[in-house]
Formats: sequence, C-alpha cells, structure tokens
Amino acid sequence: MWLLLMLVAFFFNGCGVFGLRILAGMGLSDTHVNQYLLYFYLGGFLFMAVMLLLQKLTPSLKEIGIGMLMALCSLSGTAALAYALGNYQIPGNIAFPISNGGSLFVVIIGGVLLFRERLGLYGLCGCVLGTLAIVLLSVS
Amino acid sequence: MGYFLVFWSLFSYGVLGICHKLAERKHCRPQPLSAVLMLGGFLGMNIFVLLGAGYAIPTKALYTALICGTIALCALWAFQEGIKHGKIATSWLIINLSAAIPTVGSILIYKEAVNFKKLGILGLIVVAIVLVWLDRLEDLKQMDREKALLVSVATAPGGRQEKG
Repeated sequence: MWLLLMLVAFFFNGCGVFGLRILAGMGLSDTHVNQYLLYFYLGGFLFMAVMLLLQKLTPSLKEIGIGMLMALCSLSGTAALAYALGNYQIPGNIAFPISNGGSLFVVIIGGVLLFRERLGLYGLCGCVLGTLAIVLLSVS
Repeated sequence: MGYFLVFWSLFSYGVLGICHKLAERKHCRPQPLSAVLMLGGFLGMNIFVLLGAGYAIPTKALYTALICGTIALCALWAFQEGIKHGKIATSWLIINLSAAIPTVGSILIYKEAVNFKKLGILGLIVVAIVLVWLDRLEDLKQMDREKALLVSVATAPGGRQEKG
C-alpha cells in the first residue's frame, strides 16, 4: 500500500512540477513565475475545497495550524532560494543541490530523533543513491 | 548572505518534510490538511504578486497553473495517506525523486538531448526506489516476526494465567 501511494505521489508530483517547464517553454518563467505559483496554489485549493464541501468536512484547528506552518515552510524555502539565485547570484549548480539534496538529511535526522524511525541497510543505500541522483539532477 | 539563504531554503524544506510526519502522528486528515496547505500557499503568493507585476497572466499559463496545481494537490493527498504506512525519510526521498518526471517529459515533449549522464541519473532513481521498497519489505517482515513472537509468548504454557 505504501509503495503504491508513494508511486502515485511520485508521478503526480512530477507532473505537477512539469508545469514550470511548460511555463519556461512559453518563455514566461522570467516574468510570470509568481503569478503562475499563485494560480497553481489556487487550483489545488479550489479542487480540494469542492471535495471537502461535497463531503461536508471542515479542517480542525490542528489541521489549520500544521497546514499553515507547512505552507510557510514551502514559501519560505522557495523564496529564499529565488533570492539567493536572483539577488545574490549564487550559481544554480550550487544552490539546487544544497537545497534539494540537503533537505533530505534534515528529514532523515528529524525522522530518527523525533519519530524514532530507523533506516535499514537497504533504506540507507536507497537514501544515499537517491540523494546522489537529486544532486546530479540539480547540477545538470 | 546568499549562502545563508540557500541553507535557509534547505532548512525550510527539511522542516516541511518533518511537518508531514508530524501531521500524520497528530492524526490530521490528509484532505483538509492539503487544502489548508494550498490555501496558505495561495495567500502567501498574493504578497509576492502584489509587490511585483500584478495578477495578469496569459490564459494558457493560467490554465496550466490551475491544472498542475490540482495534480500537485493529488500528489500531496497521496503522499499524506502514504506516510501513514511508512517512514518519512524514504517517503520524502521518493517525492523528491519525482524530479525525474519533468526530466523525462522534457526529453519526450521538448525533444531535449538525451545523454549518458541523464540516463545514469534516471537509472540511479529507479535503483533508489527499489532499495527503499526493499527497506519497507524488511520492516514488514520485522513486524511479522515481532507479532509471531508476541503470539507465541501469549499462547505458551506459562504465558497466560487461567482462572479456574
């Protein structure tokens, strides 16, 4: 079940992110990326809002709190990276690997320290190879 | 300052991953959580847009954004459902490896050049996913072993006190 859901998330997340490539193909990524992201979040919200309305579900205070914190982290991370690349001219082949590859280490450490998760040998090797792939993808 | 911002980005994305597992541990429902995250993102982006060039966007880009946002929301929903069954580290790895999809899409749709480096990276991604899947299978075997041990202890002759 876990793998099936993760593969669904893998495929859909990749397709969702591909929109930025489509934006670049239209020649709009230098001028309209903020507007794109605004409507990107709006599209996702509207879809789920309709589903919640149909099921008569409302978010709890806990869900609102954690959800907003997650949104803040997501926006903060994206904005910081954008400023580092744009205003401070940090090369992309340095910024992206550090940001994308490094975040995995934070999550692994968090998983171990906060949630008592342990990675077996397979998991460890998978994370090392996966991080390498992420770094190489960011550099290329 | 630039490098500080890069490391701030690393930290923010890492905390985001931890928040996903925290939400699962706090029994947050994936659907409302995803909706709130998207709403928060929308509200935050309004600040950037208001400080910038305004809300206007070509129609094609608008529809692309709305559709891709919906697709990404489904990813978020599936991911949040999935981490109920697995570890955040391996789950976060898989979601990050989804950068392979735009790479393949760029090759197929935009006819970007294929080279051995890209093929190697895609191969690494497949191997990494297989390895984390094997890690999950090991976890399931361990859980079965522990369950079997508990059952054997409970049903052993001295394991239960029977009331006469």
